[in-house]
Amino acid sequence: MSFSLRLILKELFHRWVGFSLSLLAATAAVALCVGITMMQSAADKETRRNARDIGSNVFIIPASCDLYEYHQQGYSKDSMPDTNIDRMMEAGKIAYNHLIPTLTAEIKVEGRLARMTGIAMARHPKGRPSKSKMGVVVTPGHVHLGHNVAELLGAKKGEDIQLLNRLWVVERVAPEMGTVDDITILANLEDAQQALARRGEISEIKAISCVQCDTPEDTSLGTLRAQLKKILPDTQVYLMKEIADARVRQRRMMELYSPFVIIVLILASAAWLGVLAAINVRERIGEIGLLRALGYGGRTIGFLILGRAALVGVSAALLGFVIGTFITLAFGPEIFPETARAIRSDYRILGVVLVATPLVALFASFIPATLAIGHDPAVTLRENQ
Amino acid sequence: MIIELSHVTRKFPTRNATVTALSDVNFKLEAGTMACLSGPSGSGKSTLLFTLGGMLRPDSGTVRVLEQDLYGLSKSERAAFRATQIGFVFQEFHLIPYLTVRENVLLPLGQIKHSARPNFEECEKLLTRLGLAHRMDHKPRQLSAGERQRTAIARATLLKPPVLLADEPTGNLDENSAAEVYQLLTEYRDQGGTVLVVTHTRAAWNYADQVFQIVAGQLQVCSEVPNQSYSH
Ligand SMILES: Nc1ncnc2c1ncn2[C@@H]1O[C@H](COP(=O)(O)OP(=O)(O)O)[C@@H](O)[C@H]1O
Ligand SMILES: [Mg+2]
Repeated sequence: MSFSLRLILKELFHRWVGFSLSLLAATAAVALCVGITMMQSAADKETRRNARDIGSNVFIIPASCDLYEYHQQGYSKDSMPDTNIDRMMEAGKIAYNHLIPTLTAEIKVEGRLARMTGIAMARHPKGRPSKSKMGVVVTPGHVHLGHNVAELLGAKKGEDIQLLNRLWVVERVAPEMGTVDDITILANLEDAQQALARRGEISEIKAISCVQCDTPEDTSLGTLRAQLKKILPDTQVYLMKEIADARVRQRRMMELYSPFVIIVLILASAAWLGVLAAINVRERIGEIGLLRALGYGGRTIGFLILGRAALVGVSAALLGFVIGTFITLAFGPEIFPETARAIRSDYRILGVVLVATPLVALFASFIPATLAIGHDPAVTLRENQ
Repeated sequence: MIIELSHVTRKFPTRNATVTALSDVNFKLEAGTMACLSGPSGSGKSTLLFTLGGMLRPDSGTVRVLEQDLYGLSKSERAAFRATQIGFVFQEFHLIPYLTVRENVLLPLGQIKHSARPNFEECEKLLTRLGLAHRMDHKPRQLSAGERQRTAIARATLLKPPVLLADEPTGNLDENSAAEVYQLLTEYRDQGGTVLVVTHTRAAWNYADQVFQIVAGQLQVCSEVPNQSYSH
């Protein structure tokens, strides 16, 4: 077969225009597919990360809390025991990612009504430790001040302030947010419980539900509610729908369109490769007839045509992977800033592309190869027709 | 008899009418002869050549080459037979443009077993004998028409097939080159080969042991070799 292989290589170099046209089209298609795949997995990772950044998308409040009041106030005035968290964790079956317990209350600061929120570090389901630190962490004995409340207190980072009959160190002063955060004082949960004289109490648990579930309304929240009912009978669970929906929509769109685009790319390049292979076979009819006269069999003729296609496929796969990866790494972050950080080269894509591209090229050259094999050499070799 | 055709008929159905390219042809050739097949254009010369070369199945009749019923063989057996037993030379040379002269000549090796291969030295000796020593690494487009046909003859004779078939081998050549080609073909005959040359020019008759004529698919044997006066 090395003889035939040499023949294929020499032919490729000789008819370099046709070879380049095939290679160009296939390489472009591979590069695009590689780029799309990279962008998609980046978007995938990023929606997960965004879901965490945006905040919790499920909140759990005491059953006694009136929902109307909760929304009017922006928090629950009622409490539940902070052991609820431990009970949820021990149950181990709940469909959540992170649990963040908080205790929120109104406090008087310089004659104005501000808000204090005690927040604990996020807790994760058993056996699924988090890779990244989640949410806000306030050092015990410290506070984070919202923009306006800091102004009111005339406090700066690193200074001591007197609040609720004890001394706090200002760990951070937040920039102006234009939200309730501006009048909020964040403290460590235990400190807040002590200072507010509400030991062992929390007002709310924020949970990040499983991001894998693409229909949170039916499955995630439904499961969470059912499971919570068993573990914590005295709670109510709500979904912040908009956040969940936007995320699901984004993922659905990617999942819907990128396979479509990839399929169109594959079909278009297959058609192009097929046409070029047919042109190549037409050009080589005399050559094929001669090989027949020399006793070459159909298998060798087929090998010459299909081997050529496979070589085009392998070259296009390698080139396309390198070019696609390079372009996506170079320009992807600019075009899709939201997912810029998650764009990575992926050698698993190379594996897929190395198998798939030659297969598409072989498939596209199948009809031209059949024509070449079936061609009657007596017709081409007969002179003065 | 190295070549034996009996009652061979070949028709080509076309849209309007059926062309009878060979009509009940009976034809024999002894080993070691050089025969000429003449006839006007479209008379069935190429059809006859391809039929006895194992590339065109007749509608009826039998074709025996080296005592082998060619069309009794399977397609691949016939191809294998052709690879070693029959050499072809064409008017259009049919050299592969991306291979050098040497590679073109070695092309028949692609289809035969390693043990049966002649060594490369033999190929170079052959090319030297055909006056192509300085052309071995050139591509066909760098050669003159005469050199191209000599390359094609080298390719056809590399494996020393007992039968050499040539279809208008001098059709694209000037007189001198044509004479060279006929010289080479008679040399091959002198080494023991059987050569059948299709031509519609009489110049070839001078070199032939036997001349056949075909007119409208009917073969006629010219019993005597025509003498010099018929040429030109
Ligand atoms: N494949 C074919 N299809 C149709 N007609 C053919 C085919 N091959 C040969 N013929 C016809 O058969 C006749 C003999 O052709 P050919 O053997 O090539 O003649 P020659 O070589 O003597 O010029 C011609 O009339 C030609 O048109
Ligand atoms: Mg002819």
